Amino acid sequence: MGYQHDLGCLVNQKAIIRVDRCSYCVIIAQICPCYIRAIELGTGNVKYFNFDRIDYIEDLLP
Amino acid sequence: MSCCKKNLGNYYARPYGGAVSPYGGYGPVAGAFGPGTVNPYLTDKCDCVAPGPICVDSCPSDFLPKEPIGVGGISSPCYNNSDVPCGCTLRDAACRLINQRAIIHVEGCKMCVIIIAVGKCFIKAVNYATNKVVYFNLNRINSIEDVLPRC
Repeated sequence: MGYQHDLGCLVNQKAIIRVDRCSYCVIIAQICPCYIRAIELGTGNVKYFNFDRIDYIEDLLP
Repeated sequence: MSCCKKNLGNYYARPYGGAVSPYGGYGPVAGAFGPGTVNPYLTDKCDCVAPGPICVDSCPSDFLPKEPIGVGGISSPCYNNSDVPCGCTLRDAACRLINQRAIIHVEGCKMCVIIIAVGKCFIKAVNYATNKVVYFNLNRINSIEDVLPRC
């Protein structure tokens, strides 16, 4: 629940999600209690990121 | 670049509909399944009758107490995209992908699979490159990629 409140400002924003030495450039679509639903910019696919496995999220400023 | 298919052409959005709105009449919103409520997406395909806490949108309730989700515009921090109800766990998200192609990322590796069942701790999937059944530990999954159908 805390994640949702803290990261709500990233919804509909472009961000880089770092997971296990890989970086994914995404647009965050939804913050859920245990995962983030995001659209990967390269493929256009919807990805579900497990919160427990995310190292950090980088907000891409305009 | 997807390992399942080249990323050529347009892709379709996955249709999700019929979510229950706690606001009544405002359409689908994130997280409408509380204790004792049967998730209509999940009952046909797995035993994910949502227990536990009600999932809420990204806004604190004191900030946006009674308004429907989406108020404030698409760029608002409080616009938690509500076309898909928010699952309480990654397992709920996986349940929606049953019988669909997906790419599961685990520990730096990724595998193109078709998810065939979701258990409490494992996802049962078929690796269609090798035709072998694989069980993924839900706690070890980095991410699940929904491979959308393409034109």
